[in-house]
Amino acid sequence: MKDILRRHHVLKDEIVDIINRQIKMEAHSSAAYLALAAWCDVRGYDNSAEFFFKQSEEERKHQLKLFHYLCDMECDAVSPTVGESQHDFGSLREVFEKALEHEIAVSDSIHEIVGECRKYNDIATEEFMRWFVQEQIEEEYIARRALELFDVLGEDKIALGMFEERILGIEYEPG
Amino acid sequence: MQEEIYRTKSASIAQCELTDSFLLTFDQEEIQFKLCDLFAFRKRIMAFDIMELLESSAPDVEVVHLPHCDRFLLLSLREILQFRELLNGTFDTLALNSAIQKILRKNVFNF
Repeated sequence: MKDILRRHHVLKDEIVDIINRQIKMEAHSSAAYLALAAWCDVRGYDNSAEFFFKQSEEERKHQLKLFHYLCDMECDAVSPTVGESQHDFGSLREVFEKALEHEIAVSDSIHEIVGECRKYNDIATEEFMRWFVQEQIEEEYIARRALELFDVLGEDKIALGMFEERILGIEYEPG
Repeated sequence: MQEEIYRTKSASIAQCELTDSFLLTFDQEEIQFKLCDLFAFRKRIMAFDIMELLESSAPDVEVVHLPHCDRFLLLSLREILQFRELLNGTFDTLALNSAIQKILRKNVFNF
């Protein structure tokens, strides 16, 4: 008997569900970064705002990459609803604290997907997720370095000006 | 060419090997599904909360829309349960066939 299931439904339901959950998380992250960008923008932290606008675009690209993968595998990709994002923050440092929290949550979620791939012996998806694992190493590094700038420079007006000068220059160079 | 996948007292599902599609025969009607449509149909049937339907005072009929052929099914609670049995049996059989075919594929490059 012809194996129509294997021909047209490449991934297991459990893998499809967890990738759809990740699509939703990336969509939420993209929206959350927009909120952070808006907070920075209206307070005159232009470079920080640009940093978060770029991050928002990055998260959207991640979402689409996952979305296309499900479509390519002939699985149901669910266009997600996105909940409310936090818009009020006490300081620029708090904004960057929130960004690092986001990235850590995304990393945990990506690692969970890799774990599920191993559980179901889904080698192809695990390989596909490798790009996201690497990406999260970079994202977490940049968020952490940004926070460390506050430790080095402080948080008075001059320090925040210096922070603004440096924020767009943070790059990850794998050793 | 059709191969029957699963049959209950009231319905059956067969797969058509020429078109890679499935044929649901139910109440003297035939409805064709692509695999993705069959998955979507199963999702809708499984989403019903049986306990809630049992306790509800509303009429014992649920409407299920099949967008791929733009048809509506009016299903009683009994029919929902019968469809659950049919779809569970169908997908279990398809998974079993997949597992068998995977073993058989190992012999494709038997050199």
